[in-house]
Amino acid sequence: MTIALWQYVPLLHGSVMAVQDYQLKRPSAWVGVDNFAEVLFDQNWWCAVYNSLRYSLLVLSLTFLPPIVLAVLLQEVPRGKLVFRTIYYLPAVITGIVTVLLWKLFYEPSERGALNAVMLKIPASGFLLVGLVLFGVAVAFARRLWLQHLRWTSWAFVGAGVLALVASGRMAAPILLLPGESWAEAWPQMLSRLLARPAEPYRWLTDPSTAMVACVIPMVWAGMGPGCLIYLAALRGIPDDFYEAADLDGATFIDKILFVVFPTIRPLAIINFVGAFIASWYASTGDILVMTGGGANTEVAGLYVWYKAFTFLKFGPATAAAWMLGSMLIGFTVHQLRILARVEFRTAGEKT
Amino acid sequence: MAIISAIGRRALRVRLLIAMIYVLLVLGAVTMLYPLGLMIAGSNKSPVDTPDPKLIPPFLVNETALYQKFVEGLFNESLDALRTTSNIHVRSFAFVARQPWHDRYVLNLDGFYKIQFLQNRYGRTIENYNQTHGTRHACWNTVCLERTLPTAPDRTEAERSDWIEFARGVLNAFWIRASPEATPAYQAFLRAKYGDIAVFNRNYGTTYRSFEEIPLIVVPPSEGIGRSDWDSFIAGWKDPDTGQIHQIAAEHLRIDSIAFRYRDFLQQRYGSLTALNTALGTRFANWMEIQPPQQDFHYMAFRKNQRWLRWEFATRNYIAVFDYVVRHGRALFNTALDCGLLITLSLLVNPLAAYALSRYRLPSTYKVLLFLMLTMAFPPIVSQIPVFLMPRELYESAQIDGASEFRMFWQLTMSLSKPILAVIALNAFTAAYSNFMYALLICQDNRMWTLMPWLYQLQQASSQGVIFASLLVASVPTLLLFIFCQRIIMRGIVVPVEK
Repeated sequence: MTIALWQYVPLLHGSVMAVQDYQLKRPSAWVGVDNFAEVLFDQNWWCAVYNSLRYSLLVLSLTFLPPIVLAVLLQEVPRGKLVFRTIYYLPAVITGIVTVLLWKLFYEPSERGALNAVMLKIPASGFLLVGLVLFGVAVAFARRLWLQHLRWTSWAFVGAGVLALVASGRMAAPILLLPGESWAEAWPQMLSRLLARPAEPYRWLTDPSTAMVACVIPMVWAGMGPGCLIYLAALRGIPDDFYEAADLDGATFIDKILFVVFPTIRPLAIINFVGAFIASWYASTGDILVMTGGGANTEVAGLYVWYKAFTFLKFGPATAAAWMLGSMLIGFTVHQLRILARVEFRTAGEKT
Repeated sequence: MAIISAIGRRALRVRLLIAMIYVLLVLGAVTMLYPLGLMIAGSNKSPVDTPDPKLIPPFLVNETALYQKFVEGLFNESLDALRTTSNIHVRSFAFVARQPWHDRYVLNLDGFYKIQFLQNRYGRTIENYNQTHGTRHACWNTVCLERTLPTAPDRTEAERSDWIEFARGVLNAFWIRASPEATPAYQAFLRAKYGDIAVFNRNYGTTYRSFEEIPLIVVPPSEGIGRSDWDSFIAGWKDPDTGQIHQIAAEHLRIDSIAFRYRDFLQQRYGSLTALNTALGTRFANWMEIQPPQQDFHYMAFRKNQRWLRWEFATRNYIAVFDYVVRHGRALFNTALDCGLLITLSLLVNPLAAYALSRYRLPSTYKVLLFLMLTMAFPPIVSQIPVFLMPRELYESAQIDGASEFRMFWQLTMSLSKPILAVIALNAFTAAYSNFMYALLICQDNRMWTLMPWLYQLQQASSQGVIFASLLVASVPTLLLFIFCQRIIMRGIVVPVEK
């Protein structure tokens, strides 16, 4: 009853609004598909959808792996598990809107902004080093996979490593190469430039190239803790015999991660993945609203709907857009439900 | 330690691996904690020390920083007030440093004359002033406000006209006194204004018999008709009938200020400048350099109360936040109500629904689940699932023992599900507590707002220190909850595993 009242009735009302020219104070006129047409032919709408896609991919790629990595690390550490677990969970204690507001303060675009104060101290070689390390790790994983004849996965890992390298290169490029210079001209000073720091403070929220990443970072920061708790619980469910058996077969650390941990986590990961994908389309509206208000090319689809509805007061087109959003994602929702139906659930147990 | 087995732990490779793991974890921990540290440190700050990125607020350990904060608080964050009072030309409160007491201090009128009047007119540099006035001051400190019209031969016409304009027009007439020679002019002014002595007596409530009896005002009243007449007399009053301007002559103007009285007092006590210098160990060149030691009094007060000041600065942002929250709307009550209701509801509805769905394998179960989950897309419903886990044999054996439906629900299901119920309660609390958008959107009346919208409101209108303090205050409940319920959370998490 409650669900019907609070979820379905507004849904039906909304669908009626979608085919009307809805006015708050006057009786509404029926305009049929005009609202849908208005949204479909709006350039801003497709920009918003593209931004949502960008945001989703960024969020998924950045928030997905760290909790898994963290869970593995926390499990392996001989001492201080509880301490580290608490520390990593602390950012999540600051709930939702508060995290976004906190990071908004950190993103101040001058030298004194907290994040800039840190970033401006990292030399160009620092960026490149991080990229190289990530590349190295990816190649190590790829090598173990190659030895097991899993060619495609191996190439996928190499690809990921290359991506990391390219990203770090792009970060270091403005320092190594002044605008307008070619590589030949910059080559002699490369050694000193490697130790040079970024010249200008980053304008996080107003620069289109960093704004989207800036919106994602707080999610990563706050998502590590709770995310890793779930994976930790899952990891505990793996009996030690599996690892011993793998050891007997001559597995290295990376092998054990690839062939014991990943398969166990797979159902959880898939569910989380689809869920996170869907959530990144809907739930990001509030956060991006507070962070950038949609400026600097960060207006996502949810925000487009919000603005259309509550700023321009065009409820008809707004509900039409919301329906289109929902129907775009309905495929993923059904997919997730099917997976959920197939898996078997177990509790994490009492071991601490 | 599962992946890295207990055997072979001493090998170098394994040791290196464990070391790397530690390094990574510590780096990550620093990234997690550094923003929190900044937030905690920042919550104590006020505009003077906000730009300082240290993790420990400097005023707790550094006396100069504490003094700067004290001065900032004293002048209520107004740099103009500081400059006018103490003639320190600083760009911000962060540059205030402790001056030794025998150096310069300036009190209100002198500083006011120099900074608000002269510098506004002639610019900040002394060279400009020298140029326009034909004087040869080495720095602003030798420029001073005279008590009477500067008639000494080394004073230029420009300085005189400045003084006259300042005394007549800019300075509050409360500080102006007149020499007794001005009495006839004053009486003439009053006669021109009131005409008849009876009218004057009526306005002033006095009983003079003629205008010649009216004494010159010694100390101007602070308000009333006497004061406004005095203002007109000083500035100049034009008779509407004759067009004649009645005004106190410039030579009769005297400026009275605390500084002058202080110099009079010192002159009375010590007689001459050299005696004063000997007695106090100072090196004043002339009387006009002496100013009442305001800064010293402040510094003495500061020295005596350092501990209290530190405590005050550390807590005043938090007090402001609490004050705001308690005073506006019913934030605390609404938040408590909201969270309590949501927790109760979810603890009521979820277990019952899950019990019903799992116990009775109806064909419509899947449809019902679909109905529920379609609109949620992302199921925190995993919390409900655990009831599916209870083996049917358990229920059947309970039924054989004669348990009623309710008993089975309560004693069997609920007691076995305690950890999961805790997770449900926790999720409900977090959702209700951090719900910002709905509270903002749905509650038109801000008496219904929970804590979050109020804090958002507070942040629109506060300095960074108060913003951080409010963020911290908002995080405290969730933190407490997490600390106390960590074990339960870990036990209650449900993990899907491939069949």
